[in-house]
Amino acid sequence: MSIVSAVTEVSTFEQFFRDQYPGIVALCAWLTGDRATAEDLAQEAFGAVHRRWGEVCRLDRPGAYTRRIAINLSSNERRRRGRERRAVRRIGDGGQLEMLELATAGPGRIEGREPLWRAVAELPLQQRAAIGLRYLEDLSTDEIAAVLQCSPATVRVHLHRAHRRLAELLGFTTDHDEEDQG
Amino acid sequence: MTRLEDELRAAAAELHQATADVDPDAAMAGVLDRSGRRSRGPLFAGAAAVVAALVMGVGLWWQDDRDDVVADRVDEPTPTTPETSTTQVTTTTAPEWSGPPMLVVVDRAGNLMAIDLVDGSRSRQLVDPAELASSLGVSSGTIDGVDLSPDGMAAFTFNGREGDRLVPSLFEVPVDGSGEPERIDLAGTGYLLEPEYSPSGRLFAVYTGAELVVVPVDGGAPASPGVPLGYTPTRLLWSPAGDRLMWVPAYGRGSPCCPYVSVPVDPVTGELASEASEGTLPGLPYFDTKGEVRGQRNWSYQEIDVDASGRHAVTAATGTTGLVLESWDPDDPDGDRHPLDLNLDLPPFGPVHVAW
Repeated sequence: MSIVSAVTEVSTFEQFFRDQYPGIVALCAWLTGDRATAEDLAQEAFGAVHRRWGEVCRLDRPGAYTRRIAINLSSNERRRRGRERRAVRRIGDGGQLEMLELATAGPGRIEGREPLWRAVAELPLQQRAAIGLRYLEDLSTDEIAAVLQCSPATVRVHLHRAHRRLAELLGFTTDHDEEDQG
Repeated sequence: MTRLEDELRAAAAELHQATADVDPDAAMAGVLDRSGRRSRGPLFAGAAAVVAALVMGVGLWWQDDRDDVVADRVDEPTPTTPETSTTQVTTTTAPEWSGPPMLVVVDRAGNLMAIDLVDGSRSRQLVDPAELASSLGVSSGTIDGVDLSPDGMAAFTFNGREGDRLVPSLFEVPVDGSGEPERIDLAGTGYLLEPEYSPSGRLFAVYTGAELVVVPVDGGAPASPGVPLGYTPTRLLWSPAGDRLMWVPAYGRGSPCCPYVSVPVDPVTGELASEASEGTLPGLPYFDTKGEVRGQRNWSYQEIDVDASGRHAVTAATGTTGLVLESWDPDDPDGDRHPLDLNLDLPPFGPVHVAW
């Protein structure tokens, strides 16, 4: 690689980062329900992109690639929290469990609309990601499929199931049986 | 527009507002930390500063960086014996081991079962292979491998058949019965065997009939090409640090036991090194808590799995009386064994796949 192209890539990554970072933080917050965790995961995702920027910048959709990393990292975070809770329950330390719950409900927690966030947290990751990409980023079914690396038909199934489950949990009626087929 | 859609759009707008004050400049420090380049200098000093640095003759750091990026994607050094890992087992989130909470097995009828090791009456059938075959539109199929993740998910391979057509699939299902099996996309795979979660739970290693591949648990493409195999191997194990995979080539009567093959793997990305190393042990190979390959000489065992804390190994063998499980110290394969008295009324098992 020439020095000139290296300098060019510096500014390209900077521009990419500035454009994409707020959206990735919002997506991670949607997936985890926690602002501080979201920022941490977003930085980790961009760290991975930065390490491979020479390859990532040649992708058709580097933003989709970055979102996929962020979704995977959010999944890992959710699993880690689950492991912590199960571990504490297993050793029967009620006080520690209470502290753990308090820690995860701390100041970084997204405020407002608690019933909705609780319902979103009940969704499997792929459904939560699909619905987040749809409503947060207004992505089309094909664009969501590119992020999740699945077929558009699979995305429609994720969206349909997510809508149905959220409606159940929140006591809403939904007509997505028809809408999600499109 | 439904009320649910209104609610979701409003929540999305509020979330954008709540995260609108993120500071990319401040966040870049965290990005560089994770990228491993923070010590090289501030990226956001801007292109002018980089050019100035180059003029001052200290700008080769960037050129070096690019070399690093390339270097971490190419072949890693071939390991030398003894097979040891320099990374200790991570126990930051794991509690002191207090008993095996759950075991997943494939019984003689081919069902995937989750066995509660505390209260056997709460054991449950997770998957009926006939029902799964029907849902996939194939006439039959078998569950040919199973593993249990650190957070209570069971992964299993299902190889469906419709006439001469093979329909291989990899699934995950919660062992607590709270959800249906979800298929994990694996493009262009052959007969699937032996799914194994990495110790972090982030990756799967699985045989695809022609090669060994490592894929993210949430789907997606492998980080590197698989390891081509010209045989049907048995047993696949991760080192405790998740930085090495080991498997046993097929062996049988008359074959020396037990050969093994291992290959370095990036524990985060799942990228496999291109060169493997081989060895032979007098016993069934497994990793002890330090990542050293050891041999278990009890020949009745068919499966060995080490629990998440790395402190106990469970071994399974089948016989006329059914499944026999024993626990022992993985660092002392010749030490005492402790039969696991499950107080379960289980039928004799056929070919067994067991994980905890």
